[in-house]
Amino acid sequence: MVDAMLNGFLGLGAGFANLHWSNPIMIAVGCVLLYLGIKKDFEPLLLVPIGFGCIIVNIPLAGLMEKHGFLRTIYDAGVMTELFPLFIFVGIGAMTDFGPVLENPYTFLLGAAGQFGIFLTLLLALALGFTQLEAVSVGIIGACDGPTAIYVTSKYAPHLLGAVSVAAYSYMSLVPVFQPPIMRALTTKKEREIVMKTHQKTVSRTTKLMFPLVITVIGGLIAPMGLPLIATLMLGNLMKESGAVARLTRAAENEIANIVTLLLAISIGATMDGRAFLRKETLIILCLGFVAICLDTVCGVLFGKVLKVLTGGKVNPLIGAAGISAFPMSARVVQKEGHNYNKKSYLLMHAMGANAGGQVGSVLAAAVMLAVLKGMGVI
Amino acid sequence: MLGFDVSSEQYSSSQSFQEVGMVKMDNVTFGVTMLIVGMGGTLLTLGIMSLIMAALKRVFPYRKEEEEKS
Repeated sequence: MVDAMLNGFLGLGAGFANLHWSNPIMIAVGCVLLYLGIKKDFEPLLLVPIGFGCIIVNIPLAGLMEKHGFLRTIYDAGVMTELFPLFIFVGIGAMTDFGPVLENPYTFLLGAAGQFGIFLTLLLALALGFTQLEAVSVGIIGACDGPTAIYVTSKYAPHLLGAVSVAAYSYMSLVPVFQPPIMRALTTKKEREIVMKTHQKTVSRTTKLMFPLVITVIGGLIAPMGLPLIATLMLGNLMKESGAVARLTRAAENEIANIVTLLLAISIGATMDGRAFLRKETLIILCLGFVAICLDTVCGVLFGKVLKVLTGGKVNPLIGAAGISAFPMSARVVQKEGHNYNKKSYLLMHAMGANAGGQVGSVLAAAVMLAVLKGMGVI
Repeated sequence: MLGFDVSSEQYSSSQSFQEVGMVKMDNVTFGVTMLIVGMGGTLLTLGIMSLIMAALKRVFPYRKEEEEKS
């Protein structure tokens, strides 16, 4: 009788007895993510469920990520199958207006330049000892696009998913902090003051309807491995532009995007078990992720300077910084910087074009990367 | 027992998939190829897209009256 009661009491303390040293640290990390999301408003839709998932997965013996555990079920159903990032892309496509990039198609090239950081970081990651597929997953943080990073990493380096996702989403929200100093360092005061002419609306509805179809077909033929990413983004956009499926568009923008975001984010948090997360590789990944997005900004602004020369000074190089996928945050940063130096300068629509180009560019860069990997026989 | 096993079957199978039957390439060749072909491919793809969209704008120009009707 006494033994039974003693064992019963010991059962109550089993959680404490099985705590690994890394668990309290990761619970603290989860609390930090919650603080950033709730108090500082850093991507709260993602950091709150990620932070909470991180906390609960670091409580021992709960079995949440064991076979048949509830987080494991969600993770296997949506992350390992790549469904969650693809559903989110449908919502992103439905929320994005590609009109500004269609008004100035050259801004697609700014969207391409903004992806240089992916490939440069891939080289750095290889130099630091990551395997080839791990380096691809680390480099993709430079796409500055959460679903793309999750799609690639869950496929080729799922053990890095927690670190890559946290890096991608955290740094996206820090864009207004680290982009301005880079923009100022790479441009002269005269360049920052350049006023770009604003255009009247010049894109027909037919062109806006053809755009998602062209991107899907041509992009899919060039890089078939990336077609799921391209197609889901463009499906959302086609639904929006057609105007014929308003209910589906609303559902994609709201209910589907919100539900999938919740499930995806909590699944990502569930990968942040202390024993898997607290390794030196995680710190290196967090550093490389930061470097990737900085390199994106550097290359984008430098490309903006090239365009300025080619157009005889009509293009303000600052808009190059918006060629990343942090939409529409980066465009607002560019507008603010340009306006600070010249009150007559309104770069927002041009920057939105570059930003939308960056959205397409990041997806196409990932698709091209996967196609090249397939061509080289690595996957 | 880890809640999330880093050496899960999923990762092990992808690692062995990388080693078995696929081309093994040194990291320098891999990295430089990815940089040149990957970045070049991205620029080329988006360049083609921008040309196609510019052409579509010419083929389907914006007409105020038609846009207002639709």
